[in-house]
Amino acid sequence: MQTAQMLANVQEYSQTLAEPAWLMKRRSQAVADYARLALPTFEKIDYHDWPLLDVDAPTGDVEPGLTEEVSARGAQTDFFTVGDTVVRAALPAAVREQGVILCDLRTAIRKHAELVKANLFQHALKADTDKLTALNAALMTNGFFLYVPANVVIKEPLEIMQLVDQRRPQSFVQHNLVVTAENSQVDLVQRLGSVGTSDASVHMIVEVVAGAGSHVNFAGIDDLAASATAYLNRRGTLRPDAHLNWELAEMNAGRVVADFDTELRGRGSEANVKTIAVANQQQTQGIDTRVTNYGPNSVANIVQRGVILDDATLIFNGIGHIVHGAHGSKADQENRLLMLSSKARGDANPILLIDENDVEAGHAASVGRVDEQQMYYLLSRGIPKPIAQRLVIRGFLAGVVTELRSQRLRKRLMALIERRLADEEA
Amino acid sequence: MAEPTKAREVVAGTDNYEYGFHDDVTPVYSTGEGLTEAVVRQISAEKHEPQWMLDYRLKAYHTYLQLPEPKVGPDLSGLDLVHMKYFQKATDKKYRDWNDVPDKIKQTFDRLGVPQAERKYLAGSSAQYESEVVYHRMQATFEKTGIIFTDTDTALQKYPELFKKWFGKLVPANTNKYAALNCAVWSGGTFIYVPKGVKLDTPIQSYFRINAENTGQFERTLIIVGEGASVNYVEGCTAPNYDSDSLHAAVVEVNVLANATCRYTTIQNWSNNVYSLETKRAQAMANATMEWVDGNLGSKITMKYPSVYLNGEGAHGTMLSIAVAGQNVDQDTGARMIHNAKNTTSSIVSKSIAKDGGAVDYRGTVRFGRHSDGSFAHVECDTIIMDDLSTSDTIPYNEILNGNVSMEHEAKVSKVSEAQLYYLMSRGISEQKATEMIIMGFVEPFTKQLPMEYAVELNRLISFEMEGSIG
Repeated sequence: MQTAQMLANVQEYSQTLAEPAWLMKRRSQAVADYARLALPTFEKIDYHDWPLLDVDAPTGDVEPGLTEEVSARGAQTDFFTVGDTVVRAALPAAVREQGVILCDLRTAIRKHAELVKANLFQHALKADTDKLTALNAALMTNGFFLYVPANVVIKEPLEIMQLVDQRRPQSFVQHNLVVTAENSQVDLVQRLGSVGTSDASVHMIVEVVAGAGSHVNFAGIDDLAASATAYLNRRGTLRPDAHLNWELAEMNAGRVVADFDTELRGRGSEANVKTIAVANQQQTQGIDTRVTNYGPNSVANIVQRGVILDDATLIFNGIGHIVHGAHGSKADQENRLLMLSSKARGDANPILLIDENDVEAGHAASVGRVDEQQMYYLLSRGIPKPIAQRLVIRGFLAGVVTELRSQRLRKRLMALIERRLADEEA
Repeated sequence: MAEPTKAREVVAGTDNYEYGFHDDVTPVYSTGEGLTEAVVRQISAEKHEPQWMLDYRLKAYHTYLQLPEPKVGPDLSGLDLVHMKYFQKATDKKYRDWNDVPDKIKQTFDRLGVPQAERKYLAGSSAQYESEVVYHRMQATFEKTGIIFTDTDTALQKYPELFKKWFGKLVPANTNKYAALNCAVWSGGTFIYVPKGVKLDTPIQSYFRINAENTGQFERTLIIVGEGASVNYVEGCTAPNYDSDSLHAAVVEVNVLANATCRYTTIQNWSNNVYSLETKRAQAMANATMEWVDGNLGSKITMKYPSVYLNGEGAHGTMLSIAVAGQNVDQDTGARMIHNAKNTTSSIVSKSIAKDGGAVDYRGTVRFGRHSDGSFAHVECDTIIMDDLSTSDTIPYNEILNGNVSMEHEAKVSKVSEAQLYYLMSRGISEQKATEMIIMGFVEPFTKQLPMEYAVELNRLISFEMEGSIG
């Protein structure tokens, strides 16, 4: 898309939706940034020839005519969208009454403009970070917005489902924003999937702005179709004593480049990032997980586990960065890959960047086959080989699966993993 | 282990780098400052080289001009390549009797302890001063076995076929910019050929010395260890302190044939005005073992990632390294293990210490190729950051293209353990002494692998480096 054309599209879209002037201004700036900035580089992940930048002009349309089958997929969720269309918004009344906001980004821009303006691309991520963040800032059409007021504790997990509409070829550019005020607590599940099998270029960003002393559990289960080429970016920024736990499951069937980045800005803040991924068939998934300790006494843990089948490629970059001044901080990470095919490729690159001496930093990485001792044990008890193998893999990924608080989701995720592993045998 | 207190007494009152002296030796031949195609031709002519080597140098020179600076690693912009002297010859001949070496050069190596070391425990020894080797000798008993130990210039003249067969095969000129530079202007270095089945347990040593200012030293070392043979090679490096910088851009190629063993030990202790940009590669054939033992104590900036290409079934490669970086020093080192054959194994153990604002960075690769079934790799990187000014990056890449391999990697970065300090100090040991003991314990896996005399020397150097690092 030419810059002038892109600018015209963006401005027309912004006008159609009657967006506030500040937003149109930011979008216009982002168009200029997009033209100027380079694509981000991730070690060992080459995605430059992917059709990620084939993005349509944004429209304010909502998709008509969802079948009951599609609608039923989000039946138990608190918030459910297909493309830019909100299908279900069912935040429990008891939660709503405490001032919690859960709505789509378009609604938030209209009804909660100040909150959006103060947080969107302001703290967790800057719009002019690179070409892909600028693209999102210019062309984002919707997403979800969650706000939890100070001291509000939401006990039941909130579940959000977002389906990319691939019933016809079209791109998907969305931005999701989570803001938790002081000492609030929330447990959030974001499930990203596909409807249909047409080609799609998917750009999905999540920003989490965690206020002082707030606790956020964020589970992301990404299950996009093989025909989706995706850029997934989840960012967190933490104020003092905030806790953010990411549990991320990359169960996509298509090409994915993922950038998961958390900044421990506040003293005593803590982030735990757990990522699992299954790569199969011809797929490439590149996952770059970084936590940066800025605040003193901050704690970062990264655990990544991946299973690779067939001709697939899976790249895990784990980056622990402790900047000068983050006294008494810890950064730990573990990257493990299980290779189930001789034609597969796996990279586990655990990187430590340490600019401070009063720290404890470590990493471990391993790559291997299915544990022979475990297999032997299971086989010796009469368990057939395919089942034994499945059990060992299940155990390998269990560390992240068991972190999910909802039993229903644990089952759902196990089923997804089983399905991905079964693909191999088909 | 050396007695550290005693070591401190020995060096008390000296400057912080004891090899920083220089001698006023006027070279008998020099190409002067700067590098042009004419300089490359002059070097080749001065050495009476065959045409193919001149052609090789010229081609490499053009590759050097085309290649970019390294994309990752330390900032090299301070390196003055314009005023550098690329070729300086200190003597007209190579000496086999120490008494014949010109007095001033002899004094230098006497002060560095080179001849004493040879008398005591070496099978052979050589000394390079600026661009060329001035002295080399192999003890007669070892020479009888058919081992060739000479400088690389002489090897080109005396063993043209053997030389041409192996030269430049592991490190082609396009490997990186400084390898290309070496290919264009290489001079000196060590050539070792160990015939099939000959096992040499007593070490052979080469000592590299830069004396003049703004000097480029382009050592080229080529080692071939025949089937079932073994060799233990040790090199040491020092230079004077100057305000201007010097460059040591070495290329080392080691071929370890089937069932052979090579241990290559480097104690790099350049003064803090030397850029040490090295390209070291080895290949290990079936059931061969290649061991790099690499100590980096000096230099201003070191970039060195020795590799082992495990090309034969059952080959084994190891890297055991320590790096110590003080003020204004960046030790950017690591190792590369490339598993290209079945049942190959590798191990990397890296120990680093940063102090007084120094940077120790580990950069390494373990790669399992398509045909590396049954292979295994182990990597361990430990770093101690002594103070609030120093930094450390650990950047390992693990690339796996085979489903039937396993790899383990671990790294730790921390300050000196407070628990250990507390334990020692509660027993009446001073903080300085306690810190030194902890550091010595930290590097022990490395020193343990050195010939005894080197271990003593290294402990002394580290103890010396740790001077004044407390309080």
